[in-house]
Amino acid sequence: MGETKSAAARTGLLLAAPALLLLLLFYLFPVGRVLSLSVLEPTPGLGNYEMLFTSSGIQAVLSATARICLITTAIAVPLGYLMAYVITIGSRSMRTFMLYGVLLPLWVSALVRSFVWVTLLQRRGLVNQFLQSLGVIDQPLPLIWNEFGVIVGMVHYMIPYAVLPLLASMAAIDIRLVEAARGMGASRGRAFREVFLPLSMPGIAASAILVLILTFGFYTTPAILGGGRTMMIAQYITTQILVLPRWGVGAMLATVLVVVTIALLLLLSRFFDPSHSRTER
Amino acid sequence: MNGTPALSARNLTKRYGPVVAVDDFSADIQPGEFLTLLGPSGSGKSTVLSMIAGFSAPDAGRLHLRGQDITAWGPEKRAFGMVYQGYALFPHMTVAQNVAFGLRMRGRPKAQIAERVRTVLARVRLDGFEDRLPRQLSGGQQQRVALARAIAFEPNLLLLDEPLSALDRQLRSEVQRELRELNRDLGLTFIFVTHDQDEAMSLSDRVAVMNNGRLAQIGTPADLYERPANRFIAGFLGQSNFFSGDVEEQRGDEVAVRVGGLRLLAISPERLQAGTEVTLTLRPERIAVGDAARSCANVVEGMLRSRTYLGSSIAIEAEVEGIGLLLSTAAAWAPDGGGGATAFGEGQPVALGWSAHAATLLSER
Ligand SMILES: Nc1ncnc2c1ncn2[C@@H]1O[C@H](COP(=O)(O)OP(=O)(O)OP(=O)(O)O)[C@@H](O)[C@H]1O
Ligand SMILES: [Mg+2]
Repeated sequence: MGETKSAAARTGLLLAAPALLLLLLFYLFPVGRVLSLSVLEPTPGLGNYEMLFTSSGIQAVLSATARICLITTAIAVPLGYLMAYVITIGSRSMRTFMLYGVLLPLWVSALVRSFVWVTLLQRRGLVNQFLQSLGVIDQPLPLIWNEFGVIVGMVHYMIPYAVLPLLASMAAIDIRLVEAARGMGASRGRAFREVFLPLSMPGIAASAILVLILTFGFYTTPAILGGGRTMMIAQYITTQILVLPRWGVGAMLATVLVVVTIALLLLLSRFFDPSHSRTER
Repeated sequence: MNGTPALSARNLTKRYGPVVAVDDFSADIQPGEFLTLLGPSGSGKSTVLSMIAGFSAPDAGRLHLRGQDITAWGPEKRAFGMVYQGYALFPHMTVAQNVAFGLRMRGRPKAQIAERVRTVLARVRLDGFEDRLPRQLSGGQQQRVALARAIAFEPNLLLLDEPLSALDRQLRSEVQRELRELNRDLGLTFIFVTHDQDEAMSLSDRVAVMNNGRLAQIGTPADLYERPANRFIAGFLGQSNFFSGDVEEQRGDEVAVRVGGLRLLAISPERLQAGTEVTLTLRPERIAVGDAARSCANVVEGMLRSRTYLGSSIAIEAEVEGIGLLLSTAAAWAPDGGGGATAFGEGQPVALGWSAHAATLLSER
């Protein structure tokens, strides 16, 4: 038994070897090289990492990144929850319509979507013109080239990623459980709070972590909608490496990004564990 | 059985697009009664139950609870206990929390809830399981938690949708007895859904048989078995032989029916015109085989085709000219110590007989 198992494992390893080698050669090795620069450039040591505590510029970028990512997640996940909920409990036609509404934007690049937001949000964009024509405001609102604009664009981009894990987790909820709660005297709201919401918790966690991971690495949207005034970590790294170039600092920040992402992924894998997300039948 | 019914369904109808899931269902349930909805898969049993519970709104018809119209009430206001097929226990709550749910929704004080949960769990013999999660229980234990949860808040009515179908035979008969006791001890009204006819017959005060969304017949188990209202019931509950024929004449209650080349006697309180097309239904166990058949009002000669040993009885299929295969069951052991029906050999001629009272006349083909 044990022998056949190890033999099978060996065969499996052999079959996977070419792919693993490719991965090692073209992916892990270069990434490792770049990350190693963080302790080698400009001089060997942890000097670059000290900057995390000393450089106010880096701290500003990190805190802006964390703030924007958390706010984006805090908005995208509840919106995604609402959509996933409507898709889950809605009629069939509603479901198809909403699903397409959620998935279609995935085919439009971040670049195009960002420029669409520019035309909508700029000083003489549609939103400001509309509000001015209604007389709600005298002066155009600063809707873009700031954190607000970045968050609007990022939330919009993130909605499908927030919806999908939630949909998967809600599909696994036995809707009769909500019925059962109602039959035992729970109002609609109470049945939702006591039964549906707790059972969709793994989905919420998965969705939040996925959105957080994806927002950390955002480049295009903040670059365009932030207008250079709001800088997030990905853009900062690019500047360090391509413009200045300060490879050491860029590599250090990239390492931080990778470590945070891996930590979040580990957390995420907990919620995709079947024993956590599946309802008993 | 008189007085205001506990629940009265009037002309309930439910459509799903072109499918008529339930068509014009009417029934009165008396307080404390054990009523079973019986029918083949897809006949609309669950749909009736879910309209009664308030989970789906009828397209037509009304529901009355002790005389009060509750058609427009939501499920939480009706407060019926329900046990689902597959139980639908809350997977994120412990056994105690599951059972306490209905009480908590009613805002009962904490101490009272704890006391009631203890009592109910003891009633279903699950004391000591309070802190387990549903997935840590066996199927039978989950079933009992579902039952405890449904009766904990002292509902007016208990609805059970095939609660026993996931249990093995032995456990099933045990729970059946518990259900009967619950029905008697608490005076709780039961509406029980099953597609198992033996279960329906042995548990119920009355059985409502459904077919294709319609109520085919409602009555006591004996009513349904002895006096089936139509061919479907006669075939669905137990086994029956069917013969199609024409009424020849009627003398008093006794009707002579021509079936093939045979003249068979049956009883009908109804007046039937000569020439009326009818169906005779005959239970296999009411047919006498061999010498005993000679003294019956109806005697036919047949050729024994097959003999199946069933332990307590023997099933005999005989080919009878003019009416085809006739199924009968006879005791495998004769009171005089003889071999009973084992004496008949396959391929040999055999006499079959039954009294005029044995057959039921249906005025349909
Ligand atoms: N939500 C629904 N949408 C469409 N059709 C439905 C729906 N619910 C039930 N039906 C249809 O209504 C009919 C009756 O269904 P129902 O579930 O009441 O049957 P049942 O007697 O409970 O069967 P079973 O013994 O298999 O549980 C079936 O033809 C079924 O396909
Ligand atoms: Mg059903």
